[in-house]
Amino acid sequence: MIKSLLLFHEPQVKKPFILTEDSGNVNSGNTNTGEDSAKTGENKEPSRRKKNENLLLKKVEKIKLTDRRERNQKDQKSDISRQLSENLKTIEERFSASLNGDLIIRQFDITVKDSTIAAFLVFFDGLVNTKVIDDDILQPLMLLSNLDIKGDRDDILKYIRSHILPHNQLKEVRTHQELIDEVYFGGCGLYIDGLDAAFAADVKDLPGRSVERPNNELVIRGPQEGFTENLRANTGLIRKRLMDQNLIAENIIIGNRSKTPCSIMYIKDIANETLVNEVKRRLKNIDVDYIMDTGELEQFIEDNPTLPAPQILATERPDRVCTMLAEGRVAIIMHGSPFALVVPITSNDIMYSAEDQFLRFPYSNLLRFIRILAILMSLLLPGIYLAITNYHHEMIPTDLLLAIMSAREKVPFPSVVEVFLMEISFELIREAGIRIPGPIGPTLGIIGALILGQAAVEANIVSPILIIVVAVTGLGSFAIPNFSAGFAFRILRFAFIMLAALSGFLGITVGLILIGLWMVSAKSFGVPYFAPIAPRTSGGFTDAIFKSPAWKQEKRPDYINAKQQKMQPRISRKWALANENNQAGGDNTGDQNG
Amino acid sequence: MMSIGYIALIGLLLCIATYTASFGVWTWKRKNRFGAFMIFLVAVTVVALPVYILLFREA
Repeated sequence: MIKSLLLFHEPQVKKPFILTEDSGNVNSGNTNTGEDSAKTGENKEPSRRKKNENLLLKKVEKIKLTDRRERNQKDQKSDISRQLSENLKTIEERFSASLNGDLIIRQFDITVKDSTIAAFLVFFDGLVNTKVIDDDILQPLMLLSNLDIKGDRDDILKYIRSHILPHNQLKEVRTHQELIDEVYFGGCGLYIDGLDAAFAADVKDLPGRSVERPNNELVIRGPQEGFTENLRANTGLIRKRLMDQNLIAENIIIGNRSKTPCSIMYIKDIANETLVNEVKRRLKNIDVDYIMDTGELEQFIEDNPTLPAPQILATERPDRVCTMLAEGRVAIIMHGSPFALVVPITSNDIMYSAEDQFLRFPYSNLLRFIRILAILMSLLLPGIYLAITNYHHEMIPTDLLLAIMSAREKVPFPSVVEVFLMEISFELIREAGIRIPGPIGPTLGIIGALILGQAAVEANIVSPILIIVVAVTGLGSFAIPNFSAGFAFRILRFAFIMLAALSGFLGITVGLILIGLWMVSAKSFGVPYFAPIAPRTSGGFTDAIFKSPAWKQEKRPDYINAKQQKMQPRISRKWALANENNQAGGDNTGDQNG
Repeated sequence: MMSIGYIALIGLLLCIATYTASFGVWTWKRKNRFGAFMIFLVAVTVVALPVYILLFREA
């Protein structure tokens, strides 16, 4: 302990994921940096501590492997028996049939030739469409008696699959576990006596809401559909818009117990393979019992858990996901969550609204400018007020200074206490407004704010000018289009208030430098958070800060390292060119005629 | 006469100097000889200068 405190220890060099063009080398970054040369030096002289760590890691991996093997062996042991009674017993045991009130086990007979074969169906009431089960599974099977089956009984499995069951999604399963997983996700299991396999039919009719307008990302111009809690409905909403044959939706299960189905979506010939593999690697290496929402998932896969700003975009708009997929990013959709996650993102992505894409470029640029202003106000305005009133009086006109001072004359607290009091009250009103049910919430919030502000001024607790500052700050924070980013700026605002109270503009500058360093060093799935500004990339991406016209957006963001950099040709408005040619041709003809 | 405060202060400075010197060793091992020399110099100065000011310099 004393040794570790007194002596310098070699810092552990983490090897973060860096998104490169090379798909084979996942962890390779810029090889010319001094940091990397240090890494090579470190590799030559591996310390004892590192060796121990490696040994520990190997042990953990071994334990995990044996665990997996045991699990697999267990699954292999529970192979489906040819005896229906055994299968029934297993299913009743595995599903805790005596306790589960919503589990339905329907036993019936199938008559084939002259003999009767026993069978049973298993499903959960409330997860399935019972009409589909009646019409597409039970009815055809129970009417089998009149059918002439050629061949021996072993062909029954194939025959039932190809001739009897008209259901469109029928899966042959060999283990009970496979069938159980299907049944939990709205499937229906069918066991037939004498067969060592079973059928799992997808008859899901999961309770849930229909496609509605997104609640948090409203736009005036643009699609009005939002994601729902249903995975397949969500992937369908994306496929509906992005009819690209290379659009892939890979299934993955997360949660050891919850077994939450997720979908990784990307465009095969655009998205960087390294990125797709990294997303899969992170998702597959989540060892958790239950996972309920993408909000939780985001925390499991993000690069810097302590960074205030979000490193993964959560959106409830399918059109936004489609746009980002077309740029070469990867989307993660989770069953039960109306938010899709998109990776990687940069600081610019959290400042843009989905509407930017659908508006003409002068309009969206105006909105972007206003948003940047709003972010600055939300972050710095109370701090600047404190710095000016406490330290830098000379920065404002004397008349304004006198007005501020006379307004503060009767206030007994220092201005920092005033600011904290009002900011905390504002946050309280905002939080209470969200929690109050129905349409009363926002109304009560506004009324509360007005009454509280007025009363606070009249009671000489705060000065009227501070009410204006807090109100403008609040408006600025509402103009931030990303929900998570709004939180980040709210947290940082308090830090800036403290810094400004301690040392005025010097404190604010120090804060800005520190936060700038923190942000610039951050990465989102291997992409620098401030790209394409820091590091400066020069790929001709024209939607970085201010937006170019739609016809000018020729390239994908170069920091994503997409397989295809070009999005559209240099001249995409070919009609204009054709028109010129025609006109020229017409003029020539005219001249000739003339 | 040396008070307890002086001893505590010198002890703290020695701790700092030890840490700095161990960093110097690490730097030396990485073949940055000049850097290591300068770090050793800092480590020595960290102790020597306050000790001289506290104990030997006449007021």
